[in-house]
Amino acid sequence: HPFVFLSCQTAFVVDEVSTIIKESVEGAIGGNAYQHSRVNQWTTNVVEQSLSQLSKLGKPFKYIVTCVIMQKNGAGLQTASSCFWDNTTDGSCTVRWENKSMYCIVSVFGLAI
Amino acid sequence: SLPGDSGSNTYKTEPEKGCLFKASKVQKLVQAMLDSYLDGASYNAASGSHLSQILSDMVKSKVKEISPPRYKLVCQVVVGQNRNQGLRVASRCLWDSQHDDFAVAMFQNHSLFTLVIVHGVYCE
Repeated sequence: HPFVFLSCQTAFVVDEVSTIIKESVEGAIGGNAYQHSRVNQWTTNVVEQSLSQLSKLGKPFKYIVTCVIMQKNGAGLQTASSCFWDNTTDGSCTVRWENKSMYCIVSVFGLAI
Repeated sequence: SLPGDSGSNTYKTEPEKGCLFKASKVQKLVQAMLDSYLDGASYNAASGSHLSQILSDMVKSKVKEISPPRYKLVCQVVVGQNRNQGLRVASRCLWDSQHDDFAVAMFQNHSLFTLVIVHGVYCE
């Protein structure tokens, strides 16, 4: 059915977005230990690489990408989000990544235009 | 743009004059909410995730009340225990910088820190 095909091509696909995020995080900080002097560059790299790959999907969305990197020292951290959007077209995806020295949480919100 | 007649869509590629998302106004509103709600609060691992979701829902509802028409809202909250750890948050958007904007509010005491980001995105 042509309309079903169209919605698959233009939908927010969580798995597809999640893969992009994981690759961006691995590429930016994989194999590194937390370093205060580098964390600014790392968060920037994660969000910019993610946005670049998302825009290449060519889908009619505006995107918001947020990255949190936190040093592991026993402190607790929680994240949450709330949206006022269109449930039928818009979507979000959060990826949590960690190694021995830091946590990285990336959230992507896709809002259909 | 013309008003829609019955049965047709109204497409407005730009917001009306005076109907833009006002980041500074949202910032003041959210900051006041945090300062009031978290006054005297301390980080509690058991209720931490609950607190971040409560704040997120509350902020989104309040900001919705003052948002112009045709704006979608994304509200993100980070709540953390304050143990002098290093933390960095970065955000970037692929959007229309003429009409879309965001506001940030932060709260910190000896026990916890909270960061709230609200993005307002215009949709036709």
